[in-house]
Amino acid sequence: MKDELDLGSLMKDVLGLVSDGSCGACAFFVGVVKKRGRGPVDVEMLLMESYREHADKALNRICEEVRAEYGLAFVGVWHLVGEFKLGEPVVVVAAAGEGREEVFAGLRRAVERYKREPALFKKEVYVDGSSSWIEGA
Amino acid sequence: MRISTKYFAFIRERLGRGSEVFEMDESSTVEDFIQLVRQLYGDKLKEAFEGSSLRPGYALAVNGETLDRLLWKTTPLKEGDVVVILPPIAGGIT
Repeated sequence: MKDELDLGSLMKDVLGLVSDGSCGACAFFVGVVKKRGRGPVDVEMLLMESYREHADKALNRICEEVRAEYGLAFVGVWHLVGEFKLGEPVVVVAAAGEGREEVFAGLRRAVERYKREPALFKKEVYVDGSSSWIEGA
Repeated sequence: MRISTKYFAFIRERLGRGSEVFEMDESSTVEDFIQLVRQLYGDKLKEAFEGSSLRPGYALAVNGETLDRLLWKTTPLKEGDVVVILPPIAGGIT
């Protein structure tokens, strides 16, 4: 069981939100599952678990605060939960604004806060069958 | 009064359940909740506790909002509150 995102539709939706001519830049960050994890052997799969009531509040707060801090038109974070294979996306962060400098800076800020604040927990499952809950971003 | 909790990550796995409801005294605080969990499950959750409290890096949420550690002893609980121990958060993957 896992959430899924249609990245094409999501990008179109975000661009639609900022299509009034006020924005000159829209940037996306996609976090995907990678082979190298915290353990001595390669990762085979990632399990993402969330305390949704906490995570949703934290993500809304991040989006609103980063949007205000960098003067952006839009900031959004979509995080997925469930089991994910290597290469599959588990989070998308989007930022849009008038110029690329504030958009890139705001996007990075939103990504960094996403890694620390919402109650999201990840478990790496390794190719040798072992697994480990990961602490710290 | 009834206080609910939810378990996540290794805590959920270790305890074999995702939630639980406790009956607590009307005058209970958030700290009392922590001590109750420690008393009941401290042996199974050794890495979550340091001394008599949660290990640094662990957080605690009341009704979906993180509560500052400095307020645990003085924050009263009320009927129906949902109190959740949050293992160290690791949302990022990259």
